[in-house]
Amino acid sequence: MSEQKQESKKGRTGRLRKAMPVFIVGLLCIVAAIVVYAHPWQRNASEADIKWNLTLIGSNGDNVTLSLDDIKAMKSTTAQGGFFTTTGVINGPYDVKGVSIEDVCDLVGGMGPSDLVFVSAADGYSSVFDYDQVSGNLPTYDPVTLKEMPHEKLGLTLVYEQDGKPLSYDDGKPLRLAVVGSESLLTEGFYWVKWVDRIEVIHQG
Amino acid sequence: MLLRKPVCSAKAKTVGLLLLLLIGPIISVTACTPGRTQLKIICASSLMVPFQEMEKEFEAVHPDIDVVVEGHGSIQVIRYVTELDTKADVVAVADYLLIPMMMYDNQVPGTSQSYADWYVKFATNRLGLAYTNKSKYADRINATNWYDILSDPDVKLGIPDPNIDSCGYRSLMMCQLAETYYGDATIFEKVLGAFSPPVTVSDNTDTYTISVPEVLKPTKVTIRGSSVVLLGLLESGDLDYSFEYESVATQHGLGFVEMPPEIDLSSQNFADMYNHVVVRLDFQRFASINPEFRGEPIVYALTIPSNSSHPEAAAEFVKFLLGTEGQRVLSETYQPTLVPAEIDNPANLPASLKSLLEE
Repeated sequence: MSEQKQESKKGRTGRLRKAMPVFIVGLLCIVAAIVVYAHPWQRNASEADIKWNLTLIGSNGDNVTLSLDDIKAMKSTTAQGGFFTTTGVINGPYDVKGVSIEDVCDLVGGMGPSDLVFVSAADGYSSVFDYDQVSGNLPTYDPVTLKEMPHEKLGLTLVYEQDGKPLSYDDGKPLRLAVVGSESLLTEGFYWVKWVDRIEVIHQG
Repeated sequence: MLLRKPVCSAKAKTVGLLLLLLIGPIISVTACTPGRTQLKIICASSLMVPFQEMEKEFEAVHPDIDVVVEGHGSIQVIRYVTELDTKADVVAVADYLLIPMMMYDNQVPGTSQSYADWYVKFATNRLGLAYTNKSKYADRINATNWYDILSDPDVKLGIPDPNIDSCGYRSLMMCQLAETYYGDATIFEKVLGAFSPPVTVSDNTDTYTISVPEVLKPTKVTIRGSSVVLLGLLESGDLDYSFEYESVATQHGLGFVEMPPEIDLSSQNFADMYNHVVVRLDFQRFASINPEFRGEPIVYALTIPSNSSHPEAAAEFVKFLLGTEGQRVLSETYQPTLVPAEIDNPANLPASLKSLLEE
């Protein structure tokens, strides 16, 4: 019996010895795959999710901070739109999901006809819009010919999903400003602020 | 002789597998990367046409190098390197001052090196009016009557947004300089019309300061973010004229009204005159840039960022651009050149570019 036990123990040890290299190789493969392909040091994606907040400041001084979950809990809107760069490179149109900037501004007292809204990003880039522009009065362009063409409904949306997927870092994760509407038209790229982290409404003299 | 079947021990298998594991990713990454060195060049949008041509010609003599050219506004060109963590091998901008302003005193994170400590001025440009043969009064507009023609309410004029495009704030400078040059203090308002809120010009002893509100709402001219849109509106006949750089207008087959050098921001000889005009933007688009621009001759410059991934290949490209072939390409694509090129901080040039000092 004890010999059988010893044999059995020897067998298990042998199998373990044989399995160990395979286990180590598998583990190292996973680590190597993460290191080589995911480049986590470049994107730090999960950290961005944890640390990111959107600061809202109203023209009356109201101040609100929202997490991405808070934003996702708001009434969402879906729309289409894309943009082109200063050299005419076309991006999109995309199907996007997010929240209207008007709804976001309403959390700090809303925006009046003589107000401006400043949308700023973590990288130090900003864009500014007056009431007309927030209401959708911006030039739009055909996505193929880039010729200026009229639009019906258009608005500014803080986007967190693009083409059914969460925004990628390069597309402005976690929140990007987009000029979108019911048609798949383009606008100029400088409006599309990536990595938005602050929105401020300012009353003009 | 008895041949023994080779036996692979468990130890040998482990070592083999570990080696495979270590080498595998390297092999796979190498396999995914094309065999050519990829040289990333980020340039001002107005340099796209000459640089795309330069790419073809450079690659023809350097088949081992794959040049990738990307165009942006000049401030954005540098921000890609200094603020957005993009590894560029060459940056080329339409305003040479941006390189010392944004790169000289700005250190690459984790190093004691600045992003750049030298640049080469290599090209110039002049500002004027682009038009087509369908434009109103195209047959008679010239350097002496342009402001009268643009004052006609039926003539449709386009201007790039000064808050977005350097051509936009330079257009405002040109209109202000024109008032002094032609001795007519109404040109700025006649040509550009009113804005709401207004664009104001204050005259402080020897400097005209043009203040631009955050959002520019014109009553007469058409404003768009960038030149590329205005060129489209010109070609479709929605505009008669648009302020534009000479090289861009000519590259697109458009007519160009050449202005006197006293106002077109092209000449070093009139730099003192240009200096009397300042444009101050109320809107700070970039946290790192004070939005105040003084009139200067338009001079393009380039540098190799100190964190370039391929500094040797980048130096080859710079030598090519400044050499006979590169100068021919610039000339054939209507990009005015600065001859001889001027180097700032020549002592800091990379060793592979020192030969430029001997030419």
